[in-house]
Amino acid sequence: MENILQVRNLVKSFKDGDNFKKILNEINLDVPKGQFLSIIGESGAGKSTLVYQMSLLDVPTSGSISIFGKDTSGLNIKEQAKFRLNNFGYIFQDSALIKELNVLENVKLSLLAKGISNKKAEEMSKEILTKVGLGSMINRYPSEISGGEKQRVAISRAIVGKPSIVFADEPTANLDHVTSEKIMGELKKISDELKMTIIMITHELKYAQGADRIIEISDGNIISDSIIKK
Amino acid sequence: MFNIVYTAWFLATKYFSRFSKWTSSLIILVIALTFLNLVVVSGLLVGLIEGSVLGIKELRTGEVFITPTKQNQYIKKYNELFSVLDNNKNIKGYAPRYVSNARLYKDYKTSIYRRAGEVDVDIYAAVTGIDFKKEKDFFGLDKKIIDGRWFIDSDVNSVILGNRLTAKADEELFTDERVLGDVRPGEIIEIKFGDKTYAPQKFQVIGIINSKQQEYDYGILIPSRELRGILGQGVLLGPDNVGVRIANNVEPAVVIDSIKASTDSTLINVRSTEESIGKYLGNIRKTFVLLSNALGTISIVVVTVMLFIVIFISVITKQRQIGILKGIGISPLTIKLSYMFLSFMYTFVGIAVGVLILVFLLIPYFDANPINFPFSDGILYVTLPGLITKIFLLFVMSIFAGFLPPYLITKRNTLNTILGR
Repeated sequence: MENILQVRNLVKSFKDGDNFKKILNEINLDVPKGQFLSIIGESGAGKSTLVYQMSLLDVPTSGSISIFGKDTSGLNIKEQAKFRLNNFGYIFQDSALIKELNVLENVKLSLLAKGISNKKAEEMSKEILTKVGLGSMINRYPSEISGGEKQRVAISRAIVGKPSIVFADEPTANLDHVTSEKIMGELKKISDELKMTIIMITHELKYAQGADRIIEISDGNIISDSIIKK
Repeated sequence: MFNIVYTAWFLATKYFSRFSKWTSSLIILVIALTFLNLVVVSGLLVGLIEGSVLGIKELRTGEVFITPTKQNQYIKKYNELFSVLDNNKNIKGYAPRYVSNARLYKDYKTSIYRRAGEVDVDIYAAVTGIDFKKEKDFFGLDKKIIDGRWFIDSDVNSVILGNRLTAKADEELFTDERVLGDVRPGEIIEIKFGDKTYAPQKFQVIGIINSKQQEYDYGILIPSRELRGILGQGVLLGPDNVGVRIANNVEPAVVIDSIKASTDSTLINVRSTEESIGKYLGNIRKTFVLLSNALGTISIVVVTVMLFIVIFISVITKQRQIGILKGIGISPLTIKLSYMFLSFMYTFVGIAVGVLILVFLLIPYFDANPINFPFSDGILYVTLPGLITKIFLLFVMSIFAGFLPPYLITKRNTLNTILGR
């Protein structure tokens, strides 16, 4: 299968006193198009740092990240923002919704930024929100909905623009067991039905096992890489 | 570019509508007050002088003021001048004034207002002989009578006294000010005109005038026919000045040129109000404009700093949100624009509130209740170009105040902004 994302010799270091501490150590990774990839590891292993580099939220110390075969290291801030807008969807740990916007507005915001008309953006957003069971809550504000509902809004915002890759950073971290199961169910559905590439960080193996592939990171190295047989 | 502007506007409207109502009201109030401070303080400062200039124009000079040249003590060949003025279609009317010195004397022994300890006084003052009908019709001087009445045709031996020549017992006077005392309409005063060849005559005070014009308020008015009758045409050779009221929509320069063309320029000066007020008032006006500009600049800096602080605090508290917006692909320019629009919205509403207060409250109030200054009725002087300039300046500064804080945040690393580090 065609690789949508290629990581080569990726290094990320942080200054620690007078020295530099390597968080990611020469990472190499290929992610095929449409794959649901789970990244697991202990706290501080480097899994979030790896996703931040791959999703162009941060700049690696060395190495390269290619998306659709294109090296992204030459992109400036403006081009990175445009690239993220057109190709990526993000689900943050705490949903990270904009509190001044209601549910519908949170979802349609990125569509407006893409230049889609307000009417079309609303149609697309309502469709997605209805699919995740929030069709009746479109006028509510983030402060008026539960944690699970917020995360479903975040999922809707991430996928409404039909991105090539969805990055999910511990999307069940702050949720109870039942809600977490529902969220994982939504992500699986997206992977199966929409054939989107999903790269998800989780610290819980049972949720990781819902993916197509699991890689485990420890001390900045990939220590295991396994395909889940279904 | 359209989607950037549209998304920024969309975000700004949401920030604006979801911002704390109290905080928003406070910001809008401060902007409205700053706007009023900018317009009203400078408007009143300049209004003191403009009110004075307006008073001079309305009551004395008209749009065109004719005086003798330096070499002449009065306007010679005035009949020829009157003929020129009568035949000029651009002139609505004119009023010649004849001025003489006089010694005024009040006999307290006969005064019904006499108080214990008061002694008879005499003072020197200027007497202005006027055509009271023309002064009434074209200069509205009759409206400045604060006690008593204006002249009528049947008046004989009647004068109107300037209010600065009278004073109540407890009234504070300017330094060196000499007054007749508490003189009221109906009382008799003695006037000795010109030099000692003229015997004192008794006149009845029929009114007190308060025109804020020194020439009238520190003197007495008398019908010119009567003054000329007393002094004789041999002494009162011609008018000291002529105020000319011109037709609406006619430029004073046009009338001035036509008068000059028909008269002897060695005998008279023909000038506009602006030219005739001289450098003194002009310099005060310039100083007040400078002062009001300085105060205005301080106001603008204050509102800019305030808006900057508001936006800065808003941006700092929303630092992570800005990072998330960047993270999901909203361009830094969109984010910066959204805060500029937010600042613009606050400024717009603040100015709108300020304009409403100005138009519906302050301007009508100051029109109805001019500030009572000794030399003028202080008005609120607001011009449309001046207003537009101040509004424009406020908008420019608000946009600057709205741009800088998000600029500082959006140029930071996206991840650091999201993680708040």
